[in-house]
Amino acid sequence: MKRLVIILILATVLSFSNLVVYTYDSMVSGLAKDIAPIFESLYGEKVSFVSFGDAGKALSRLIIEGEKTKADIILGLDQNLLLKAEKYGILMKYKPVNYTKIKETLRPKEYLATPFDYGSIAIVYNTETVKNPPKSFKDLLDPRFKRKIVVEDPRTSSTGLSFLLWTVAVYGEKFTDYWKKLKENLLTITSGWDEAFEMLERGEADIMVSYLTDGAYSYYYYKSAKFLPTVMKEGMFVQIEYVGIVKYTKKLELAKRFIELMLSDYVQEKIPLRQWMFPVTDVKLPEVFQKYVPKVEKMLELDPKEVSKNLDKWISEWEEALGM
Amino acid sequence: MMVFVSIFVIFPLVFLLASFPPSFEISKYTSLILMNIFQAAVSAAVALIGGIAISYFLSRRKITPFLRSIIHSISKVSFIFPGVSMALGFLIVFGKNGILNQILNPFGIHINILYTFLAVVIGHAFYNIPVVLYITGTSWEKLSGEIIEAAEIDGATPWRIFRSVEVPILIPSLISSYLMAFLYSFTSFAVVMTIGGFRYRTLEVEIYSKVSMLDFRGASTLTLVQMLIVATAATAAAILKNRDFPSGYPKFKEKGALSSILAFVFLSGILLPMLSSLLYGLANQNAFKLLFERGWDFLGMGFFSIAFWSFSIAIPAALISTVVSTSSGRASSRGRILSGIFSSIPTAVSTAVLAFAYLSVLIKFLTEDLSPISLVILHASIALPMSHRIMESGWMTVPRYIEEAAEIDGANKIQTFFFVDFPMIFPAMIRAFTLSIAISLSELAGVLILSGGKFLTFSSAVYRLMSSRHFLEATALNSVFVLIVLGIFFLGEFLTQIDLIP
Repeated sequence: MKRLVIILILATVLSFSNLVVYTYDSMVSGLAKDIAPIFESLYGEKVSFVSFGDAGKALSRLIIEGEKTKADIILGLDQNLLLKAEKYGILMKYKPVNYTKIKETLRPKEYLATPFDYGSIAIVYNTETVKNPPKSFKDLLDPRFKRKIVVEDPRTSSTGLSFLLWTVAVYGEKFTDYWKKLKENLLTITSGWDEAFEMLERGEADIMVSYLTDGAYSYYYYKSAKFLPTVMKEGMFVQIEYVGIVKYTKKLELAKRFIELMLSDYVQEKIPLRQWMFPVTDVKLPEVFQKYVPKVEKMLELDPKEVSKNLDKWISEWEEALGM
Repeated sequence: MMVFVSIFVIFPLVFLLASFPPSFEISKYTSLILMNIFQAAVSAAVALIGGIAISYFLSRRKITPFLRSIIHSISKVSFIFPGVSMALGFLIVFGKNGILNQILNPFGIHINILYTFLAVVIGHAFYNIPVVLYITGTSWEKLSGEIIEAAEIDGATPWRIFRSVEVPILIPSLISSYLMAFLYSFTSFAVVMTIGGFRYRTLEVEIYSKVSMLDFRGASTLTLVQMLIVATAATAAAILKNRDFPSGYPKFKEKGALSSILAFVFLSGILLPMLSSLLYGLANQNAFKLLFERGWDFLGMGFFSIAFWSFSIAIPAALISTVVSTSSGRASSRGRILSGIFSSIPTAVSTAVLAFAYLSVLIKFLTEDLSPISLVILHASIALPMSHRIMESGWMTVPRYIEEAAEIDGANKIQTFFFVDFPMIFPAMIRAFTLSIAISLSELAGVLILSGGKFLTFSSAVYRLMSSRHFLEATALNSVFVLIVLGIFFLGEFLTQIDLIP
């Protein structure tokens, strides 16, 4: 028994002797595979990506662990989860050397975390089962979509939180009225984007909250337009993803190098076809992006200060509206 | 037993409730609590009907011993069948493009029940029929045939005998089995996470969600509510379980088509998801190809690492559970009531709650690096009630006078145990050990809460794959997982046949 205990502790400790990055599922099976080998060859250190399902859960885990955490980096927080990270004070400020490479509109002012990709969230539908897709938030309430829509939980998923804020941007304080009606058409609420997309691919759901680049993804992988985004007439909503250094890291220099690597042309060029988001620096976009990502006329925004002030209240109101 | 339960169950719970005092504003959870109770009540009722149909069929119809043993095996197997695998089976059978729809679509029928109340009830009912069978089945088969014959002589019809003679006598075991099915449906995790949707979630799932969202106060409130409901139901079930009834020789009849049809329907309902879960991955060549091409990459570890973590937790947990229950089972069989009471305490606490309590202790006093060890203890604790029951029955087979004879011959306690008791209780120990391994391997909520994504067991790996665009890979890994669990179960059954008595 004693020997087994020692083996278990050793196995746990050994597995965290590298740079440890907390992140979400699709990052591990996607971009992480490009980052890990290049990081190792450049700096001679291994990098371990640990996924907790979605970004919200990764952040929660980091907050629970506090100073005892083994994480050095958290990868994939969006602008809204970043507010939560700021509230708990678990990130270390860092202004990247490559700061000026970031597109001007995306440059962070506080340096709390560094943006590495961005994109618009969108309503995505299965073209084989939905012939007349919704084009507005009102359309989503149509009874023909009863039990056909799947959304992500804003308390655990960054995509879900962005969608909640999107409805706030459209309906203001009356967003709960909209959710009460939308509830009738919801098949279920998943804890993360991956689980929702799994349901769309398996044919359980017909419509989900995903990203504007999903059509390009569909063309790229399946040479078909099975899953297409629809541009909402009320306007679209941008999600920016960030990478931050954990305050308690004992490998600060290595962590800084990781941030710089995320802004390198090598990683930024991989972003479109791995993350299906837009790079934050001016690298060339692949053809499929230029051809199949719809143009957006109107972008909606919420004042970050307003979001910071009201986020907890909006989430409680959302919980009440949905009976969660 | 008392020391173990006090340190590893009662203390963490008290610490949890003291660290995060529950809020008494439960009004915001009222609809969730009521829906959870209603769902469990209906699921248990359907499970009871199914269980009664099969029990009646087994106890009153003259069937071949082979068929009887097959039905008993199905019932036993579904008892240890992992929740996540059962949930996967339901997705495969009842999904929009599932097996049932593929069969029914040519007839213009399309079933769309996932994420509905019906789906949750069906899922829990079929999963819990074996629980009902386990408790009522044996009582029914042993129910004295003389009473039935007396009623027949008095001119009672079979329905009248069923209604006025058999059911009233068996009522304590029926209520007890209903309450156990209620408990399992009430605290269900994997099935609800997979096919329940947001409308029909259980308190168990909500506690897990609250812990993931750092709402410890909310989780603590729900923990207290859940503990009160579960403890009440568990106590009532335990009191009713041991009621005596008139037993004697069995009474078989040749007729009774209704019970046969119902038994067939319910048995199919249990078998179909289990077989689908086992065979879907095996029958799909692509599933294994994808598992090797991208599944291991996605999980961040391969088959042997997952097996290492699964068994590194399951084997010590099963050892602890067997050793503790061997001691407590002896005490219980010798009339010490406290041992029995303490052994049933973990039944009154759900896995998510206990895992949440361990997490709070680890964060406060220790380090999360100890989470694998805490999982070992968690799994040992949740296996205790079942292994205690097995060991108590095992000790009942050891006549007190043999021990006394050994002592008179000069044997000390250790010698008496190894040379007198051990050969007789060996089958029970093997059964307790293998069942505890199966319970540990199947457990999901505790692994999700305590592992923190740093390691995976079979059940958590299957769950991660099926909820993240790796469904086929999940079916492949699940097939292997189910084969492992079944292998352990049948190995246990085989080993219990070994006779160590010289």
